[in-house]
Amino acid sequence: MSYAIEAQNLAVAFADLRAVDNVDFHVAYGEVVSLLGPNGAGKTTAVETLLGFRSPSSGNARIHGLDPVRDHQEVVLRTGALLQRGGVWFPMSPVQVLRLTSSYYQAPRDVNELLDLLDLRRCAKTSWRRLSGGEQQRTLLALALLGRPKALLLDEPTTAVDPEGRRRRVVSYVTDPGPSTDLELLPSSA
Amino acid sequence: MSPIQVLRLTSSYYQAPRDVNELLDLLDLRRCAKTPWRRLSGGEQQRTLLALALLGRPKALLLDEPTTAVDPEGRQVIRDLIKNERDRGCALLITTHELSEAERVADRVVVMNRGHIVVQGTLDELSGSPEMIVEVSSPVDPAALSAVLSCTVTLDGPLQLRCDTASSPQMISLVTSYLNGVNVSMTSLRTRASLEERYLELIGNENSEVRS
Repeated sequence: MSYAIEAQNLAVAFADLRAVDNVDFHVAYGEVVSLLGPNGAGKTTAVETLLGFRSPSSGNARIHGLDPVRDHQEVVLRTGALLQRGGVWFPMSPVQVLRLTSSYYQAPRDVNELLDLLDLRRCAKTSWRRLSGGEQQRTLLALALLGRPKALLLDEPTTAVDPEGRRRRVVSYVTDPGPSTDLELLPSSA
Repeated sequence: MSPIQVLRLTSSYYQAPRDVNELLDLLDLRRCAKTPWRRLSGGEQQRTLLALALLGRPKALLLDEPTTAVDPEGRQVIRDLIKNERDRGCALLITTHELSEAERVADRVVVMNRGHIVVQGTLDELSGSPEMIVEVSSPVDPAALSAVLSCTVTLDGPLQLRCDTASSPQMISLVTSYLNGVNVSMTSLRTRASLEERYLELIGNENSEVRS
């Protein structure tokens, strides 16, 4: 019998810590199962793994009989989730959130141009939760630039951005936005 | 963005989304539908996220601490919603550290501690068999009380007896009569170990095994 949600001998380890240690449980359609335990029990890690946001160290996670890592897109589309560390963009990717947000502006900047400018092309279709801190930060900066602002207020714009060329790219952009923009004011902590 | 904005935007990703207005009513979000996200209360944010989770008519819902930071009224809204989703055939996995929430909404409970499963089963299975727990003012002989009640009676402590029987007016009357006969007062009577007692016992045993 295929269950709606199933953990089979599921284990998730972080270095020496086995956050989820060979657990087996299932949820049938039309059933409510409560995962109950104190803080640090592994409940959230189990849920995040079942949704495919983490890979199991061993064992299997299944939703609708699908592998949540391999079939992530379909699992996310067919599954509702409320996560403690979720946000309103979950499970959007940089390109999705940029396109959506651009619809709010009368004359937005081109999304593809911003993806290139902030070096987001490679992770353009990665869901928000799976982006690195730096990729999230650069996506937020791209959002800030969408509406062709005449002023930018950036609070620690290079925090969590890796020190490779990308950090230089952010700093060089905000200090010299180039002749194609009309940016005038830049209160920034960069 | 406000709840209505983010719901309308997100609904555009689904082929057959639920109606946004229906979800605003269902989650009691109508009054704050146009309030910016940052000005919503924790409970309103939580209910907006739950509305987002429901937009695509999912057949499975995974809710991580859905009633955390939600006021009592909002909790009831979420509990009703969980029951409605179950009734339409949805599978729901809900994490919580609050026993009372599990007792209210769950068909089955999986108790986790330190990464592994301690026990799982229905609420009745986890709570154990019906029991009467009697606390007394002075020690009494469990064997004698066992003979009176025709059930097993064990000592939990010097002044606490556990009787393996459902509490009924007749059983309570027999216990009271017996205690009167031996000049002992009943200081408390509980009908059976609650899920909370069972849970604390299981988690407590686990943690003391780890410490020892």
